[in-house]
Amino acid sequence: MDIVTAIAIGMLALASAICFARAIRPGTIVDRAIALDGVVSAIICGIGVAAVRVGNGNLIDISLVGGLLGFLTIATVARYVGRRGL
Amino acid sequence: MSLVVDVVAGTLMILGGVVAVIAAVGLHRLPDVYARMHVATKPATLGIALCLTGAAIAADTASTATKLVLAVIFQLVTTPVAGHLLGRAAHAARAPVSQHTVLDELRPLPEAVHAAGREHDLTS
Repeated sequence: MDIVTAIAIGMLALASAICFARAIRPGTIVDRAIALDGVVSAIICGIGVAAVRVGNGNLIDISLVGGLLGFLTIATVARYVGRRGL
Repeated sequence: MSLVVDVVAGTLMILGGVVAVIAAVGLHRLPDVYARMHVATKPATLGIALCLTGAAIAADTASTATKLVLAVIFQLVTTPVAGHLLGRAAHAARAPVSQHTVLDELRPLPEAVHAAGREHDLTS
């Protein structure tokens, strides 16, 4: 199980690095917001996997809060784009 | 039994990682904002559902598994709402549309087309 969780966490780290590169690349605000949301979802997945690896169920609360924050972030960016344009 | 549980949970978690990597590559390769938004909601629903379901299968207590299922349901409910909000805002702000777009139902009709359509309705 240790090897499996290590592989999964490595892939999620790779995914969040690629998403972060997209956020740094030039693009509209929406592109960057989507890319950072990809980073957030990779982090949520990673916390779930890390909870299995460490064997501590309390870590799951962090992924719940992370999902809530991701939704609020996207909603805020959507309002900003709606008012001010791209 | 324990081996079966470990294999199923590990497969689900690695599948979640694969989905996340594919979506991250898609963020770079797809042509316009809407296509990238489409690909970015896949790790946020399918990837998180796979990873957290795998963790719930491997979890040792029932309260942990319940919290994981709750997190999955929350993601499944909020991600489409967030994508819809952002997509409508981007379209209202006239984010450029790819050339390969077949149908854009939110595109405002020009006045001439409106008038011609109305005349056609009256005469027919």
